[in-house]
Amino acid sequence: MAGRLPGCATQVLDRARPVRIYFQGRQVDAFEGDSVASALLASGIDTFSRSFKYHRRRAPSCLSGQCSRCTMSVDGRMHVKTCQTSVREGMSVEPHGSVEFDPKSLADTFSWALPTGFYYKYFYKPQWFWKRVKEVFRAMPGNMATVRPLAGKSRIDAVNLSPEMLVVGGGLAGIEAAITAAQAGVRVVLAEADGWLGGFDAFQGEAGHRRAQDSIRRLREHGNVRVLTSTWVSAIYPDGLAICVQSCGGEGPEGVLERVFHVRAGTTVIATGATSVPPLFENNDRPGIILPEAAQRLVHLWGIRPGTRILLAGGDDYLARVGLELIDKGIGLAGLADYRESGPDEALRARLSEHGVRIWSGYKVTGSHGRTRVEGATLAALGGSDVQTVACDTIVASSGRYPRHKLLGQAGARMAYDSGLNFYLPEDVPRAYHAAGRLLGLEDPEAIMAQGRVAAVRALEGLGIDVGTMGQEARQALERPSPLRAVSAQPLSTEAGKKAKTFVCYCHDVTEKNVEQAVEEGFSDIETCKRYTTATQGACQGGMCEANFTHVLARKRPELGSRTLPTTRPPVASISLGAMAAGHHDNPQLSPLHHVQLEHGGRPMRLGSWIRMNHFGDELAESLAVHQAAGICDVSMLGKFRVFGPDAKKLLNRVMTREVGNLAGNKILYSSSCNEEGILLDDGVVLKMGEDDYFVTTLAGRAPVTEEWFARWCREEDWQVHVVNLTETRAGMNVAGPKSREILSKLTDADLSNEAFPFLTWARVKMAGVDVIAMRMGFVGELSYELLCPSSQAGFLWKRILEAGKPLGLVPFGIECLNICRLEKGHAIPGLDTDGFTNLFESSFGWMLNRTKTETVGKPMLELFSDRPLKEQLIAFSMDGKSPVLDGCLVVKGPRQLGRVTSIRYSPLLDKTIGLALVEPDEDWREGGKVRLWLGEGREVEAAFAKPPFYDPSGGRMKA
Amino acid sequence: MPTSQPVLRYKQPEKRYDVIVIGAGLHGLAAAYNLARYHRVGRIAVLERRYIGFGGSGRNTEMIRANKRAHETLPFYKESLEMWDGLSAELEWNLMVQKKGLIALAHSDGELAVMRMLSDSQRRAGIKIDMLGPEEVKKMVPSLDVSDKPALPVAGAQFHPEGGTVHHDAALWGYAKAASRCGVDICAGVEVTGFYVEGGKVNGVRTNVGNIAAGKVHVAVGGYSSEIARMLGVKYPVVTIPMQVMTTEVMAPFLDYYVASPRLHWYTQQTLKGDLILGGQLDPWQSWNSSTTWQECSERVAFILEYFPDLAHARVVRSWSGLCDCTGDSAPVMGPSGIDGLSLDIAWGYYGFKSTPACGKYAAEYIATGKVPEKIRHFGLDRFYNRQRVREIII
Amino acid sequence: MPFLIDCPNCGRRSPYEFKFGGECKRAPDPGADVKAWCDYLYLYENMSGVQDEWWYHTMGCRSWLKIRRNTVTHEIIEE
Repeated sequence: MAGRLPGCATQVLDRARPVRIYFQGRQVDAFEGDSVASALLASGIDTFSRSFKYHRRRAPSCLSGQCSRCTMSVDGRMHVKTCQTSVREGMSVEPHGSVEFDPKSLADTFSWALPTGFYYKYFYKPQWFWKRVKEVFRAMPGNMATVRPLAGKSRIDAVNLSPEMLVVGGGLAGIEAAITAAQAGVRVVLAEADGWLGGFDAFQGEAGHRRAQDSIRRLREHGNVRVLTSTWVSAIYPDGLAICVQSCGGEGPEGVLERVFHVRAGTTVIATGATSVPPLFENNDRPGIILPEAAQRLVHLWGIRPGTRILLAGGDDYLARVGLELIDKGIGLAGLADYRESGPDEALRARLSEHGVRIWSGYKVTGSHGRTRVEGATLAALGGSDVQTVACDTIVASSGRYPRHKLLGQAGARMAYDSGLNFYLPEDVPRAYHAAGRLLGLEDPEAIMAQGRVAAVRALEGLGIDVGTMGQEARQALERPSPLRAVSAQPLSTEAGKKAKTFVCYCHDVTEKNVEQAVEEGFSDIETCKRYTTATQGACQGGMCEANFTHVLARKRPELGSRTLPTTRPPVASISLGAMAAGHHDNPQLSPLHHVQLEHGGRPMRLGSWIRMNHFGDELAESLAVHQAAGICDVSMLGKFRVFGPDAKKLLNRVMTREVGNLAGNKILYSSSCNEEGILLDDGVVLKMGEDDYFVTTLAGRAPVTEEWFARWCREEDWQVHVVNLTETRAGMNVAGPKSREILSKLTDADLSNEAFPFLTWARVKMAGVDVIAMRMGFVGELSYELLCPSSQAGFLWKRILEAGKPLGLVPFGIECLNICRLEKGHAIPGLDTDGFTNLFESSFGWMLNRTKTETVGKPMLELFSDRPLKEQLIAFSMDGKSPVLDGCLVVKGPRQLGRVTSIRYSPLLDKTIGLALVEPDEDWREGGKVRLWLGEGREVEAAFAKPPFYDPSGGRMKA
Repeated sequence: MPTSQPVLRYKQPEKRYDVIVIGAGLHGLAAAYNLARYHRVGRIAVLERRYIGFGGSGRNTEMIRANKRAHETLPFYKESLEMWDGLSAELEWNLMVQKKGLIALAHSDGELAVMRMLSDSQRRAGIKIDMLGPEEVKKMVPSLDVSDKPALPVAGAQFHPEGGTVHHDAALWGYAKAASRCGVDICAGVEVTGFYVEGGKVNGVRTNVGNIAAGKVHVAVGGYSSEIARMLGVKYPVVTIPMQVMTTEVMAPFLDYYVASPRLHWYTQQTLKGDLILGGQLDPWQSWNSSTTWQECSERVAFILEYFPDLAHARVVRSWSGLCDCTGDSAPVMGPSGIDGLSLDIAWGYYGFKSTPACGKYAAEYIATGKVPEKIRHFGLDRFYNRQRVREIII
Repeated sequence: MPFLIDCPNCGRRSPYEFKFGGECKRAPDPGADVKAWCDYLYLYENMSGVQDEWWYHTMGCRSWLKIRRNTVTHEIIEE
């Protein structure tokens, strides 16, 4: 290509501001306003990428972000559309792989050996051969980006917007729609993929530029329109969410690369425009073959000559108009091949002839030739035998027009083919969506603008907004100019049987012949043909090839009737993983005692949504301290609820396996709960705080599930019961060990003696000035107090208890120590020692089923199966000393697999390893029986079946 | 070199068959092929209301593996995994079997415990399984972040070397081609609208193109089994839930294995073509709508990006969704339906693809002999009435 | 129509704020037989079309709502 044209008003360049970028290390001079692709094209670079299968040379053909041929690696980011990326000083641009010399292009020569689906048809045996071949396959594709370590995380922001109206497309129709809505006083977001507004008219020479500028000026008068340029509306999802990704090119001090707008609009106007369909002829993929829009963009936006001798080819007057624009800029034409017998419109033809442009009416292009780019074309007369060769360095060609319909499709509209217009028109557009502009086949600017207003009026009316006289005016305006719909040309195609390739799908190198062959092999409907040939499945997702693909299919199988388009799926434009992930944050729950425990050497670990302390350096020492002196453990993650109201008892009797009605005074009721299958879900305690007023705890981390569960069991009742989740407002700590009473007595005046405050009772006490609910419980097997206090005071109380306890040997302990101590007592934890199949009887919690009350959830199933043998049971076992057996180890008996170890820990106090296992019933589960643990083929260890508890069987220590 | 011979051959249905298979997905075609090839049952038709592979057969992640949980069913999955090896040669069609190896990550000691249990069960069933430490995983997948930067760091992994991928479309067309060549009529555009059942025995089906008589009818309709149930006036233990998947632009080979996180419900693999397949989570609600959603896709990507931070600029080009017919115990329903002559192969959830070869084999055996083969004995409907549900669920 | 759920307490919200609670079913009497209970627990109409179902507003008012939804189109049918 031959350098720049003189500057003019339509250009987006700032020639006063030169910018240097580096292509493969070589300096390329550009101007502010250039895209990477325009800068490279202006500097004469012809080959941007190599194609997927045949490694053919490829260069941009659309310059509007649709074809994938211009993608390169920019500043280390892969698959960047260079045509939509603005240049920045010092930018480094690298193609994906070697483009100038590519030995894999031999594939192009040997393509005769690669028919459609060759990978299925060859290599099916022997197997070893396929294993080798597939490694060759993996390395073969062209335009493959390389994954490289990134220096750091790029800044990508996520923003939520909820305007009344979203307008997609900043052309005349979109702008008009936005202005109309703005005048009605609603908030509008207008998204435009290019870096400027104006759409098609931005590159229609000076007349188009003036129209666009006039519209933009009127738009700017409205403060309630937020304009997002360089923004692709990537998808519209079923919940109405539109994802708009703006490329920001590292703007601002923080270097924001992309910004993702999650837009929930009340209504949406889609004005995404239309695009020319690539022509079908032999070697239609050569660099130098571009769409008319691309030629116009080059000339009018970036002041670049597409070539010096340009052949125009197609079947409508648009090409002739583009030809006149090129002449106007002093660019040489090789001629115009118009497949219509009549050729272009009389006036256009006359003007072209004035400039000596050769016009071949009734001729089509049948092929291109050239080495690295187009050097000539072959023309053939339609229905005649005349063949001509034309020398040219650029072919500007199209074979019709195609709506950019994908967003509309995602919103739920169907596209129906109109054979008269050779254009697809939307049907069944869902209520909240409205189409406008060239997307609907309109061509006349007046009509496009009027129709943009009409779409906005309809959209506003859909929102129930009074538009006054605006609606009527807009509709009248639409009737005034002839609503001229462009009748596009029939796509041209080659005769069958030629050797050279005619590409239908450029991303995957699928030729017309491939598609025809697929149809012959039985892949005749669009979906199977698409999968078999892989056409439309590449980076452009059909944007460049759907029209030709459906055309070729329809021609081959006319009996299939109307043309259908493949299903449209998000995203419309490819979207980076970084942009998709923007806005996601991990927010684990922290206990109010989290930081104070870290100060004391706590080692945090993630458990579900919570972070808990695993231990404080030595879990074995912690467990000994609990037995010999005292320990303190954070149990804030226990679910804590107040359940109150006249029907509180009814609800609790439903969800609890034990009877709540008898609960009196300061007794603690320890209960469990099941689901309707009788599967054990949870255990916890119930305290009666007053008349119809209960306090309930549930397992650590289960509070959200429990809240939902309680609500579930009164959702169909007219009960007066309130469930208040106190989990995060109340901290919990367990002070356990023989010295715990003595320690806590230092901090309270309350009588903590066994007589005044016995096992399984609770009391309200003031401890270190903090209001505390204290419960005497026995999970770790020692005298212990579970203290619940306001979260805000928990850190203070924790510190006071530690101070008071330090002289007596109190240590903080974590969940590892908790596990050791509870296993010494043989206590199981629902969900850990049982699973989603273990019913109440099969766990060690069967005794908690009240057999007289009928309303308990799960009781009918438990009763129905109560006389049948258990499917499994929870057993305990022990081994002397330390054992290598870990949680999850299988319990076996010869070839039989009986179950698994659910929890196993070494107890330093007993010098034994103690475990629980969930196993099938077996005769060995008796005094003196053996539990065989599988450590691998031929390696088993034996443990002794035992009836827990292993420590303090009478419970004297915890009841002391 | 091969010339263009028809691979897919559609037929108009005749008035009478010996066996009708409903659904020209992988399972239906595999059953028909096995019946025609290995059993003498007479004339067979596969009826398909849309086109070959419309449902889950064309919308899956191509994963094959046998690392399931229940020791009763592991032999079935093991056999299925092994059967893929010889299938390309048998069907004379390259299914592009790649036993590239599956790495399942664990993020905590608790998950490692579960994984040990699974691994040991699988080893005892004769499936090759290794447990890996984070450093070993890093050596195999250099782009994986095994540091403590992710919110849930990699604590270890299970390696299933025989796991991998099969090109799903290749398998589909391979079975279709082979079934046609064995004389099976594949009829597309034929929608079953009802059944003829008399005295507890099936006599045929009603379709949009007329009635078709058959003494045996096999239901292999993937995610659509409840629609069949409604025609029969029964219910199945199935809820239909979509699963979404995404694919990216192509990248030079950098990921040799199938990597998954069961805890965070994501998996990813790089196909032969070079694109990444990303996915792994069922939608949170029942639905017969195969749209994808931003919330699901972006959450999957956010998790995957934590572990593959260098992929921040890789680009997703397409997302799609398939319907999974899920049971509560993650095991399928195969065998008797309660109606004589009507057999079921349904409720495969998201593990139907990998089970295709064995399903085809045993479905055919059951249809031909009327006896439930030992390997699918645990998949009966009766299990829901006697607390014999299969323990595939881990939690 | 966009797939949004009209919560009587919180307004029209994204379904991702909710937990799906399954199709509405009626439990048998406590004394019903094994068949009745197992049918209820394990079988689903699994409607491809309009069904009544439960949704729990986890990220909102945390109450259970009964919604009539078309499971094919996601259309919510107002009572």
